[in-house]
Amino acid sequence: MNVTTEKLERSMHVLMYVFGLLLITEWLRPVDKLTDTGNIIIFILFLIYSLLLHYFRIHWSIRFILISAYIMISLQFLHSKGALFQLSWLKEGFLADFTANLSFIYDGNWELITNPFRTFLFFVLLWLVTYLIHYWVMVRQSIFFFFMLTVIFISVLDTFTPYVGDKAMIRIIIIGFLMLGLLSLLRLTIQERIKFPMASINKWILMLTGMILVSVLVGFVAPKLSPQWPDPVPYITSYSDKAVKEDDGSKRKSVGYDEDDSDLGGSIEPDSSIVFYNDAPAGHYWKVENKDIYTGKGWVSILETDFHTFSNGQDMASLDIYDVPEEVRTEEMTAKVSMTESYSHILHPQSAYLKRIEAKNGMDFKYYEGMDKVISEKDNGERLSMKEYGLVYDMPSFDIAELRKVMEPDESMDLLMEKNTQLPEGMPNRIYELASGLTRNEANWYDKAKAIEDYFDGPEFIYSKDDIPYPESNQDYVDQFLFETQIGYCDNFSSAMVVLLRAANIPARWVKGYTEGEKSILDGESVYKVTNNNAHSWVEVYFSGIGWVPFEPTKGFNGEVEFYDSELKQEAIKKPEETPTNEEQTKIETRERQDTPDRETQSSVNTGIGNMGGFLKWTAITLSGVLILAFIGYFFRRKWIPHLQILRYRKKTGAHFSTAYLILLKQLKRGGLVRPEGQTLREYAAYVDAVYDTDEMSELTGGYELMIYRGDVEDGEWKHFQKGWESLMRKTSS
Amino acid sequence: MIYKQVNQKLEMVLANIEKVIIGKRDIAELSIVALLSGGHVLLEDVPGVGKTVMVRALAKSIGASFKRIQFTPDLLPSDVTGVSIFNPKEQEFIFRPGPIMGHIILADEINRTSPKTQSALLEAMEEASVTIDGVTRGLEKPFFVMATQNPIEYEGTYPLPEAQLDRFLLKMKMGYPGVEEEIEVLHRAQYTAPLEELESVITLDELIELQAEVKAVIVDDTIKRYIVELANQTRTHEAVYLGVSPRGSIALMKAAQAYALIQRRDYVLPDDVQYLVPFVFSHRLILKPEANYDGFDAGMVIHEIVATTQVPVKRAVT
Repeated sequence: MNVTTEKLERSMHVLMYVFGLLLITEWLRPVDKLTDTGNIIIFILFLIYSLLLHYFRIHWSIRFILISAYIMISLQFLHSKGALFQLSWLKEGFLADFTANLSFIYDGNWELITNPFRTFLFFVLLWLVTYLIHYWVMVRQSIFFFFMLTVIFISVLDTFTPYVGDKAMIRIIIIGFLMLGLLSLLRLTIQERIKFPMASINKWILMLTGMILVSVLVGFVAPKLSPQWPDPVPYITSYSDKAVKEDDGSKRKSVGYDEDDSDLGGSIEPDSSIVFYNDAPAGHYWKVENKDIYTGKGWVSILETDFHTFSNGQDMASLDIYDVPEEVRTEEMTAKVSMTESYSHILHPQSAYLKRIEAKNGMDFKYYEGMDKVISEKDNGERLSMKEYGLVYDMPSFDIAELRKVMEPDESMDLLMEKNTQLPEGMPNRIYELASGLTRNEANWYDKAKAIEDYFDGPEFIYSKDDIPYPESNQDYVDQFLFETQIGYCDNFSSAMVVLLRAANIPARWVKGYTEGEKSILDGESVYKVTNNNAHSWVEVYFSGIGWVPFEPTKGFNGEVEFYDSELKQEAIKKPEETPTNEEQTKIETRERQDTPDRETQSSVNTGIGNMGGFLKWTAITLSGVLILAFIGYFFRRKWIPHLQILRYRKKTGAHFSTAYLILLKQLKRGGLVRPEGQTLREYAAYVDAVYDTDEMSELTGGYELMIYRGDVEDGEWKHFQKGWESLMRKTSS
Repeated sequence: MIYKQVNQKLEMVLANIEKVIIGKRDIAELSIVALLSGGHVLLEDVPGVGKTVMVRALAKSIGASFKRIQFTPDLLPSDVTGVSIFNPKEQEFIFRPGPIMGHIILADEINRTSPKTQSALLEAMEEASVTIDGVTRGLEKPFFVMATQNPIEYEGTYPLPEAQLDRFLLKMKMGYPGVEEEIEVLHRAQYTAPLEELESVITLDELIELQAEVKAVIVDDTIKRYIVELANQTRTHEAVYLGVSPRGSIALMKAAQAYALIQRRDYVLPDDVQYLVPFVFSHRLILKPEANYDGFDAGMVIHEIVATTQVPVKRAVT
C-alpha cells in the first residue's frame, strides 16, 4: 500500500508536535529545578494547548483570544487570592500591574518587576516558542536550529548551574535525532513527490530508531575524556556575588568596608550586596571615618580615648566640635538611612556639619573628633548596630576664592600639622621630588591640591580592581603605585594623593566611606541604594579658617562636593540642571572628569532616562517602535513585497514588462531560488518552473529575451504576461 | 515569413542527415553551423564512427560535390591543389584541378601529412583560393572543409601548429553512438545502403542564400559584450598561457548566429553562446604546462569561465 504524501505529512506533523513539546519541556525542567517557579504543569499545559491550536490551524484571531484567555485565567489562578473568572480582577489587578511594570521596565528597574508580570512575560515567551516550533516543523521542515539551541542551553546550565543535564541530554539527543530523521524523510517526500510504500517508511523509521539507539548507547557506554581545558566555571563565577564570599581562601579581597587598612594592595572582587539605603536629597559621599597615620603599607588610626557623648536627637552644636565658618555656605538637609548590614558606626554625609541624629530613644552616640567618626551605643555602653536612623545636617559648598587664600599653615595648626603631615621614616625621595615638582608652580594650597589631584587624571594612571599587586616587603605602597604599577583603585589613588600632599607639607587625611550609590525605589520612594561596590576612600585637606575640604583623586569618580567661585561671578561654568541658590555666585562642580570606568556611568544613565522630558520619552518609544517594525518588515519582506508589487503593477498600464520581470527575479532570489552568475535566463526559468510546477516562468522569460537580446521595443504586451507574472509572484511569497 | 522558410530548409537538411547518421543531431547541427557561417570543422576522432558518411550525407543533401583527400606522409601540395600538365598535342599547359576544387572536402587524417601539404590546405581554407603556377584560382562556393585527425597515434604524425588550428571554426568529437543507436546502425547496415538513397533537399543557391541569412541574425550589444567578456576571461585565466584572439571572438559570434538560425530564432541568446563556447574556444587556448600536469584541460577551463562569467540579464545600453 502506498502512502500518500498528505497522509504521511499529517501523521508526521502529529509526531513532530509531540517531539517538539518534549524538547520544550526540556527547557522547562531546569526552570522548575533552578528557580522558585512553582506550578510548572500550568506552563506545560499551556504549551500543549498552544501547539494544539497551531495544529488545528485555528484562525489567528481566534487563537489570540483563546491564548489570552488561558494566560489571564492562569495568572488569576497563580497570583490572585480571589475567586477565578472575575472580570474586575482583569481591570484592577492585571491592567494596573501591567502599566506599573511597563514603567519599571522603561526606567530599567528590573528588580521591581512584579511576579504576575514576570509570569505573563514567561507565557508570552512560551507562546513565541510554540509558534517557532510550528514554523520550523510545518513551514521549514527543519528542526536542527532548535535542536542545537536546546543542546547548548542544557550544556550551559549543566556547566554553570547545579542542574545536572546528563539525562536531559540523552533525552534531547534521542528526540532531536528522531525529529531530524523524520523531517528529512518528510522533506524528501514533499520535494521529490515520491510515494513510499508503507513498508519502506516503516523500514526508514526502524533504521532511524536503530541507529539512534545504537549511537546513544555507544555514546553512553564509551569512555569519555576528562575535560581538555581548565574549568571555566570558577573564572566566570568569580564575578558573581556569591563566589566572592565563598572565596575566602585566596588573597583577593572583596570590595566593601573593612576596619583594617594597615595592609593595602591586591586585587578586589566586586560585591553588589546592599549596605544601606538613604533618601538624601542629593547624592553625596558617606563618610565613616578618617585615618591619619600612614605606615608605608596602609593606614591606621590614632587611638583616641577622648570623645564627645551625645544622646538621641541632641543638638550637636552644643558639643562645640565645630564652627561653621562664614566663608562656607551651607544648606540644611535631612536624610534617613536604613542599614541592611550591621555596623555600629553611623554613616554621615561627607564634609557635612552633623546637627542631629534621630534614632530610637535611649540611644547614645560617641563622636571621636580625630577620626570624625560616630559610634552608636546603648545606655550601658554596649555598642549597637542600628537598623534605621535619621540625620539632620548642614551641607556645605566651598568657595574656591576663599580656599585660594590659604597659602601656609597658621599658628593654631601646629598640632594638626604634626599629625596630618606625618609620613613614615625612609620614604623614597622621589615621592618628595614628585610632590614639589607638581606643586612648584602653584601659590596656594587649593591649587597645589588640585594640581596633585589632576596629576592622577593623566593617561598613565589606570583605574582597575584586577591584577593589583601587593607592595614588596621593602617597598612603599604609594611609591609602588606612583612609579611602578600606576594601576589601581580608590585606595591607591587616595593614599597616593594624601602622601603627595603631606610631602608638599599640606595637611591631609585619608577618608573612608561610600560613594553616593545608585538611585532606586524602596517601598515606593526614590532612594539611593549603596552597595559594597560603593565602598570608597578619598582625601581631605585642611584649610585654616574653613576646615576639612574633600578632594577626589580616583580616576572616574567625581567627588560630589559643591564648589563655587565667588570671584568668577558671571563667567559661569555650571551644570545646567542645577539652579544656583545665589544669583551672584556661580558654582563650579568638581564633575570635571570625563572617563568614568565604573558604576558611576550606570547610575547617571539611569537617572538620565528618568529625567528625560515627556517629549523625549515619547520620541524614544516611537523610534524604537518604528525600528522594531522596520526590522520585522525587513525580516518578512519575502512575504509582503510581492503583494505590494502586484497591487502596484495592477494600476500601471503600458510598457512595464521588463521592470516587472526584474522585480520577479529579485523576489525569486529572496525566495531562495538563486540564479548562479553563469546561468542563462532560459535555464533559470526551466529550473523555476520545475520548482513551482508551471511553465509560466519560461513563457515570461521568452518574452523578456525578445526585449533584451533582440532589442524588441516593448508595447502593450505587459497585459499578456501580467497573469503569469502575478501568479509567480504569489507563489514566491507562499 | 522568410524566416520560417529558412527553418524549414534547415530542418530538411538535418532530417536528411539523420536518415543515415543516427543519434548525432548535435554533430550534424554543428556541421551546418560551420557550413552556414563559412567556417570549417576539425573532427578529432577515431576511425569508423561515421565521419565520412556524415560529410557525404551533408554534401548530398545540399547537392554539392564531395571530394575526399586521404592525407599521407608522401602527399604533395600539388596533390591537393591540382597541377598544370603539358599537353603535347595542344602545345600548352592544361590545369588539372586537385581535390580541393570541390564544395565539400573531407580532409582525412590531416596530421599524417607533411606541414608543407597541411599549409597548402590551410591556406586554401583561409583565402578561399589557391595559387598554382602564378595563377590564382578561386575555389567553389560554398567551400567547406571537414578535417579529421586521429588523436590516438602520435608516431609519424605532424600535429597541426596551434596558430593553424585557429583556421577551424569548430573543433568537435563525434564519439561512439549509444547502445540503442548502434543497434539501429547495425539494423540499417543489414538491409539498406542508405547513403545511396539520399536526395538533395536544397540547392547550392539556396545554401548561399541561407549563408546571407545568417549574417542578418541579430546579435544585440549585450550579447557582443558577453562574448568579449568570455574571450577576455580566457586571456586572464591563471591556467591559460595564450587566450582566445579577437578572431576567436568573431568566430564565436558568427557560429552563434548560425546556431540561432537553426534554433528557429533570428536573434542570438546567451544560451547559444554558452553552447558553442567549448567548440569554438577549446582549440584556440594554449594552457600553461603546469596546468596540463595538474590534469587541467581546455574543456575544464572553459567550463569554469562560462560558470563564472555574468550572463547579461539587463540591457547594457538603454
